[in-house]
Amino acid sequence: MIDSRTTPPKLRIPALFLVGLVAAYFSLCMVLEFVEGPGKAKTLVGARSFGQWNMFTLKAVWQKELKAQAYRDGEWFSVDLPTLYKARWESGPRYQRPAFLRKTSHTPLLGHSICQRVKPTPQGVRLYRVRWKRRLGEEQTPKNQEISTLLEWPCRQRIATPRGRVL
Amino acid sequence: MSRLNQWFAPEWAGGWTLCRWLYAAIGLSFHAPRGQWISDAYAAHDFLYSRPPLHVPDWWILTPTSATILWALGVLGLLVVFWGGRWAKPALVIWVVSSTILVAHEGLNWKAYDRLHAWIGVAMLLGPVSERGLTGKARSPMGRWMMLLIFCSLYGMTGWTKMMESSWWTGEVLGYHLVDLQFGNQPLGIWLSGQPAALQFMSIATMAFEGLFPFLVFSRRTNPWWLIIGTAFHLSLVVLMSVGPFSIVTLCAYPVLLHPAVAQRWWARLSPKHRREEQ
Repeated sequence: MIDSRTTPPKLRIPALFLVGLVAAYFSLCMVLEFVEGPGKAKTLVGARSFGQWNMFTLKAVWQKELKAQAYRDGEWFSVDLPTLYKARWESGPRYQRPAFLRKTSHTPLLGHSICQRVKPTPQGVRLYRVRWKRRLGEEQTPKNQEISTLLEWPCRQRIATPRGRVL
Repeated sequence: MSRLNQWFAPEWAGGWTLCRWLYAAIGLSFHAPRGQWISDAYAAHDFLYSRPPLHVPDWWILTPTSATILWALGVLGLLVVFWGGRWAKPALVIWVVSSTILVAHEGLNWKAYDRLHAWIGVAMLLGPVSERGLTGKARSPMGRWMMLLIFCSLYGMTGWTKMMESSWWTGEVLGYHLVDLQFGNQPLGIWLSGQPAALQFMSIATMAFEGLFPFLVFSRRTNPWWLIIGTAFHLSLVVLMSVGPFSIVTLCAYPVLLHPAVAQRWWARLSPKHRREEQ
């Protein structure tokens, strides 16, 4: 004989209400996604991020990489970002994520951070994006790269972080 | 009232035990290694972003100590969830809250598997995860309903939006993602990206599986078949792409998504007691 029990009567309405609330939230996320188009969210962007399930939906022809150089004593030299920022997820380092590269407002803090981490402290930092067209059926090595500068940051410049703290 | 009774008719609950074990073990597999990135990412004050929806650093900037405590609370919460018993649900809440704050504070790596793992945790709060011996029990279907809702949203949204993208029908989108240096770049995936016919077949199969899931998972007849296809789909992702623990996080909910009557029948065939009786 199986031990059989269910939700007590007084908890049934709250349980249904919770399930209904989550259903309404997911429905809203889905409707907005269809109306605005995949990857083009404009309305309630932050609030929707819990219920946003876009996975590899859009065509991504370009492979992009962020690189950095620093300037000291009249010379530019390459900055090894993976050594400076060791945290790495399966999708690469934080600063290589497509969401990071899309937002130009993100790069000044990285520029400032590189100024702090490179020793001895450089006078300036340059961030640039390298991109090349992906080629199907083969391993991706950079070919016919396009380079664009994202940021030139003087290390003496200060920057405000969340809560207005100035670094 | 009779309709309400029908909605709350108890279902076989054995699947929740396997779900709970897998949930905790998989959570530990991706959360425990985060401990090594505390000072470089979770409490890096020189590289701190306030991002929606929670904007955690606007109200709490983590120090290495507070970030380590949050991380440790998450580990402890998952260990208690794995162990089960009366503290499993409070531990589940501690895990979901602490890991969400930690990941939201980091700001740049709030992945689909983080969100999905947290949502599965919410469904588990409505399920009988604090009980032991569930293979001999039937419980309220509310937790399973929540799980179905989450997965119908997950597969439905991703499948239907893929259908809106014309190059998903030719296989081109999938090909480009298979060679992505971060998310793809696996030997078999790279080879497949150069096989247009295979790409088109795989793309259409993906859209069919994801897009039809919300319709076919409810029927007792199609439910087990669709979950077997889903298991094959997610295991192929493990081989072809680098999507981290997303596939295994998804699969940990499958024992609950499996129709309880089917799951009970399968358990009866597999259980040692049943096999002894047959002998």
